[in-house]
Amino acid sequence: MTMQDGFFGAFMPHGMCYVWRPDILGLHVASDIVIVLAYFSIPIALYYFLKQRNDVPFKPVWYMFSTFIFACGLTHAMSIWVVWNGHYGVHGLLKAFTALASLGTALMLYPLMPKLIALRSPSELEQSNAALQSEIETREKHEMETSRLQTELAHIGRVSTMGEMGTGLAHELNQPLMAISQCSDTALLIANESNEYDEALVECLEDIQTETQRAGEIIRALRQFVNKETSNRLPVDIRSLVEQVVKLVKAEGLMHNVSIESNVSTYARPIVDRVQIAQVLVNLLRNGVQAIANKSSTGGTVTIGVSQSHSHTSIYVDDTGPGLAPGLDFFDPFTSTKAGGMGMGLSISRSIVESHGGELIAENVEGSGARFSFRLPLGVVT
Amino acid sequence: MEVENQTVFIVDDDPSVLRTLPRALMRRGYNVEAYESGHDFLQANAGVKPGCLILELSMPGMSGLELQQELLELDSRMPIIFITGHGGVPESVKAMRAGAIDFLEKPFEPEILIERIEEALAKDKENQREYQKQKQTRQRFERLTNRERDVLDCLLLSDTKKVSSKGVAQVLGISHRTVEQHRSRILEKTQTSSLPELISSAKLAGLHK
Repeated sequence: MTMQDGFFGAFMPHGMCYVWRPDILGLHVASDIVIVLAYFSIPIALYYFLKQRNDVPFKPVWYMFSTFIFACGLTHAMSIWVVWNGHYGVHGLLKAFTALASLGTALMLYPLMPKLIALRSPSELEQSNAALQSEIETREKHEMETSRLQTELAHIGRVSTMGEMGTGLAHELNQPLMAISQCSDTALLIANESNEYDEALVECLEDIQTETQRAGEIIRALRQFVNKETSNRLPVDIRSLVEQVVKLVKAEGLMHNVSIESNVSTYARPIVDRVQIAQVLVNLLRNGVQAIANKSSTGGTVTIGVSQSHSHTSIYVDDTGPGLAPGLDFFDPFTSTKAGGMGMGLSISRSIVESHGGELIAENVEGSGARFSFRLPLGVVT
Repeated sequence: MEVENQTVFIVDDDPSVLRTLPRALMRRGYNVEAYESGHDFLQANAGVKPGCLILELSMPGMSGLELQQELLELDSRMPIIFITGHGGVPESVKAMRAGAIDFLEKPFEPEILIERIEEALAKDKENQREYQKQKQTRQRFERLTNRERDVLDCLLLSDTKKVSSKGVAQVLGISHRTVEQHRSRILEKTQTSSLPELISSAKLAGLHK
């Protein structure tokens, strides 16, 4: 037992206070050892945690807390040391350091309290995450809906522009058509009265008249379609109608080496708007011809068939073309696979067929080309 | 085909129609006069002439329907064939109600127009004849003396109110015999032979409903 002066000197060991009673001394020393080990391990665990989680908030507090715990550990280690060596000055300094560290931690902690309280727990975060996710989904859905509506609106805009254009066009075209009609009439009159009667000339002039009237009827049908005017429905001899439309498209077929055949097994007289149904048939036949012409120069066949059941007149138009391209809505206005096609033909055709209570169906025929078919409800069979 | 001094009038603002339609109709032997607006047509006082009118429905300024109304107000009975490049259903209904012969959508078949023109000219002729007859009848009634007019009025009244000629005599304060005398004079002057004939003649002259 040595007694030395000075702050860092060795005073009476603390064990003396325990009068070296092994049980009390052992209890203190053993407890201190456990505390030291625990206190030293906590900063290591915290350090590891902070290293792994970069996003942990309030890092200075964590470091401060680690320092304070470590300092506490040191103090307890010193407590073991002083049981046998009375360096109470060093012990005191360590305690002072621990006091500063713990005070600093406490001072940092209180101002942070509102923020700490506001911190979300993981389960809360999970909840708000889920809410956010559903919000995002809703917005995305809205966005998609908006963009769909915008497309539709643009579409309607285009169609209504078409309608207005159609109406304006009808008026503008009808004037020159009327003039052509009158001119051909006058010319026909002159040709008939002429001394040198020329049959070909007369035929030409008659054709001009017929074609002018046809152009006029097409415009009328288009305008009726656009204006949704009521159409003029009468019993129509479907056989003669088919003959007529085949005649109209024959020339275009020949040009592309496409023959047009008809297969009419009925004398039905469905009640329809003759011009409108003629327009549909011409459209379907011409589509068939063009589909074949686009595929090859070797030509092919377009067949128009009509049959009658007890309740319907069924009409189909088959072609030996490449068939329908998948994934295209042919009936949508402005959708076309034809270069320079407006995509109005099938859309108008479908509207006409639907206005007659039928449905226009497009399908591929196994081993052949495309088939467009529709049924007209009960006609008067004669 | 063509009727003495009947004219087919055309009012259309489209230059190509104005050039080709008259040519076509003249070639067929019609007298044709063409105007590019309803205003020009009215200024030429063409509405009272014999003939018919081919009229474009939609024109800037005065429309076809407006010209039709204008002519009706002028008491013109000229038959009208409407033509149009627009083909408005409501307008056509209006035009037909106001007495139009037909409503043709351009381009129409020339034969149909010719048929309608013939129909219109025939109607015009009938109108003219009726108008002449009416004029003559009115002139006959104008030859009646004032006293005879009074008697006539009473007789016409007797038709509707079932008043006998005795009643007429009482109303006018003259003898039954005198009424009878006036009556035979009236029949003579209006070239009618019975009371019913006199009444229908008076109707024609616009004196009786």
